[in-house]
Amino acid sequence: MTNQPLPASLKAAVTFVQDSMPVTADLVVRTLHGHSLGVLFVNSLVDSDTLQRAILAPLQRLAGRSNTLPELMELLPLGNLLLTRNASEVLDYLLRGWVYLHLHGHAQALLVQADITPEKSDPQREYAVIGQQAAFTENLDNNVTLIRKLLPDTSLCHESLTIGTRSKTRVGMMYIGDVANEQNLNTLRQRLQELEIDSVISSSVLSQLIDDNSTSVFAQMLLTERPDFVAYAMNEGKIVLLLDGSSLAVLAPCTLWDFMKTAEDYNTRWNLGMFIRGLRILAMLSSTQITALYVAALTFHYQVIPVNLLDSLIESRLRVPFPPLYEALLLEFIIELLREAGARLPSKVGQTMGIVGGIVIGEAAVQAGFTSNILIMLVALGALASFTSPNYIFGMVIRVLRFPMIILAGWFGALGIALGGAFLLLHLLRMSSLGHPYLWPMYPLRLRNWREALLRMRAPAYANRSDYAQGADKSRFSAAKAKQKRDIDE
Amino acid sequence: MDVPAHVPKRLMVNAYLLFFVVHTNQVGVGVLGFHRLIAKYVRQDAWIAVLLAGLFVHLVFWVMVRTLRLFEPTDLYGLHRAVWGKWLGTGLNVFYLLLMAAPTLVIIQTYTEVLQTWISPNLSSWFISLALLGLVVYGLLGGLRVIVGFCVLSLFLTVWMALLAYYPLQYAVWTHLQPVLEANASDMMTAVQKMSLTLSGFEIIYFVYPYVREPRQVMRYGQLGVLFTNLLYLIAMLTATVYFSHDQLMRNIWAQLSILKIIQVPFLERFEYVVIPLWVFVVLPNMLLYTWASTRGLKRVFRLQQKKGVYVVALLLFGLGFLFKTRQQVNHLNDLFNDLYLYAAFLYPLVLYPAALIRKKWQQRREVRSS
Repeated sequence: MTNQPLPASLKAAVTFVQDSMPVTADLVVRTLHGHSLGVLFVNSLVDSDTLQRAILAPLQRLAGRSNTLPELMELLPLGNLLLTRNASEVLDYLLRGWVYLHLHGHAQALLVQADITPEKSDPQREYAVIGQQAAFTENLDNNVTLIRKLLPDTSLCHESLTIGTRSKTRVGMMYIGDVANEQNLNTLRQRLQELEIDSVISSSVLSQLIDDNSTSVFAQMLLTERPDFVAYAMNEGKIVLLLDGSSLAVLAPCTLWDFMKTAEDYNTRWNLGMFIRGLRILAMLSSTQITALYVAALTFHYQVIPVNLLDSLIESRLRVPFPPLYEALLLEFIIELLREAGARLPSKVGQTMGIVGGIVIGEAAVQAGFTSNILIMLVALGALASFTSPNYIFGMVIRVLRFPMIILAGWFGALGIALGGAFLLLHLLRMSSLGHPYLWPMYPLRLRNWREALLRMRAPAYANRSDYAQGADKSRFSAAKAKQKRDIDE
Repeated sequence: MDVPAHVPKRLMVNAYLLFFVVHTNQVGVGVLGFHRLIAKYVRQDAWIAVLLAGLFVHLVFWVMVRTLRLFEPTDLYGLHRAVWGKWLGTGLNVFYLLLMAAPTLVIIQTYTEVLQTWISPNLSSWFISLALLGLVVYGLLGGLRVIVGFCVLSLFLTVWMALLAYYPLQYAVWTHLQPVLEANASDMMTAVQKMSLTLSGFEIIYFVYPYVREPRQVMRYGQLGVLFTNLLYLIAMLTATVYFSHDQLMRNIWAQLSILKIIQVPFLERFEYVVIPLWVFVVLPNMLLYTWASTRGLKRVFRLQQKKGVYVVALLLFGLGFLFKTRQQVNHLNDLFNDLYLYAAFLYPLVLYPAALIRKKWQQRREVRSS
């Protein structure tokens, strides 16, 4: 593959390019001048204006005259031109958005730069301090370009299909051919093809239509607006769906832990990344339980609370007229109201309203003897912890889970929490995403894969891909070389 | 029904998961209060009884797996059919599927008693029973792989409790273990018998066996699971022996929980309030596995769809729960069940193995003659 010479005949050259990029929906092959001149390019990477104005128009004016490659070079009003005989170089340049011209009978390629700079919007939903300051736009081709720019690889596959009898939404399905699991691909293709629906307007709607367990509160496909996060995920063997008109890409299959990851984890140093990710996972898990534990302890098991803490607890609850259960539910409800109101208002008003509303209502509620200080603190902590979720939808899931937990705790104490937890575990165990177990690698137990799912380790740990990626390409770099140790002073 | 139990490949589990299945099924409510029953007979030599019973379990488990290998792939229901013939085999199968439904009832009763004694007497028995059975039904509808998954996660959630032995050991009086080997042989036998029942749960291998992807490795991982259980029980027994005096131990029905009472961490007093609710995760795998084995029997013997079987068994267990009102009745149930179980799970495999061997030889000889 490295130094393969280009074939001379146009037909062979076209076949070569098509075979090298087997699944590329946006590869365009044009032949001009009665099949003597071939124009090949990847549509999503090429600026159509430049293509028309500076390449196709001059070429068409030539019609019928046989020429040589230097003559063609003279003709094109573009700065960056390149002649090469190397086949793999041609592929590289094609994936960088260059146009490949092939004259029949010449074993040489004329490459012309006509690449497009993709538009990007600012990440609004998944902000990262370090990392790409880019988010998908609502144009499908542009989003494909954003991903292609990050992974200019021949095995990056791109399939295209249309969904919805009325909306005729264009859907792009992208994955890395020799990494993604064939079985997952087939499952997803089949589900997309069997969809019979009049219109699909957004990617989140689509992801709900094709998930495994539609009754669950947990999403089984991840929505993200970040191209870099998508690139990381594709390297792990995930499949991406892009919809025309949606700025959110759908990732599948996903496990529970994927919803707790951010691109930031990869961008910070590994130990800091591990710390932050661990903090986030702990925060999210405890967010579902913290208010419930308070309610259970105060309603049934005041014995568990140490004596000196009990004093301040009793003091703060002296004037509160409600039992802990109703007090907690009321506060959680208020917090949810504030969040929802803040989300509905325009952003600038929303922030002030959130802060003022939170402080004023919270302060007033305590002053009026409606709730206790400690509970306000716990509920706020729980809300704060749920906001660490990198994924907005997953944060909602966590906040919704708190209500049944609190009710169970209020009715049956710690036993209620345990029963709720057991139910949740069973539920998660029964779930799958594209047939892939949702709690992997906790179950099925794959300790080796914890480094992808839960932990964040030094680069050498990631020499081999996880079991998740079942493609032919099992390793990312040589593990042996990464492990080489040098002695002192060598 | 037929002897071989063919299982589709996608429903199979890896052999190493048997470590979790066998271990979690052995550990149950018994851990919280087995100390007194053993120490009653052999006083400070209780740990020797635990060791001997553990060795006995290793032996029985070995016999079980050897028996299953003779007629692979099959489970106990198929074995009975192959060894004892149509009528006797079916009779035994019915007996065993009923027997497999029983532990769930015992577990619910015992756990309810623990909850009402230690946490709140106001918790109604029927609610606890209903909640647990509801979870059992929900888990069972997910199939064996979900159940095995729950075993794995429940072990992760609860195994750290073994480290809590550190706290009582600070107050240990090691002279409680002396003099060694004071008990006489007949008392020791009784104690070993009691202990064996506490260790029961490994017989689940009789039913899970056809679902294992690598049947050759069943022995290794199963025995590891048994070993791990034995270690935990040994630690528990030793801790209780050196922490309590003998008279104190005799007065503590739930010795393990009494031990936990001394643990104090800055943000938490009364540790047993954490442990007892968490015990849901210890008892649920047992209930799931036993009920699964029972409904599997209904499917194998009566061709009853397992989905329906789950509801039938759960309703039956819920109804039977109302028959037990007092501690005496629960104890009575326990004793009756224990006697049955000792024969069915520990001594019967030792009979079944030779019988299966003879039957296998006989079959082979007949095949040779007919060919």
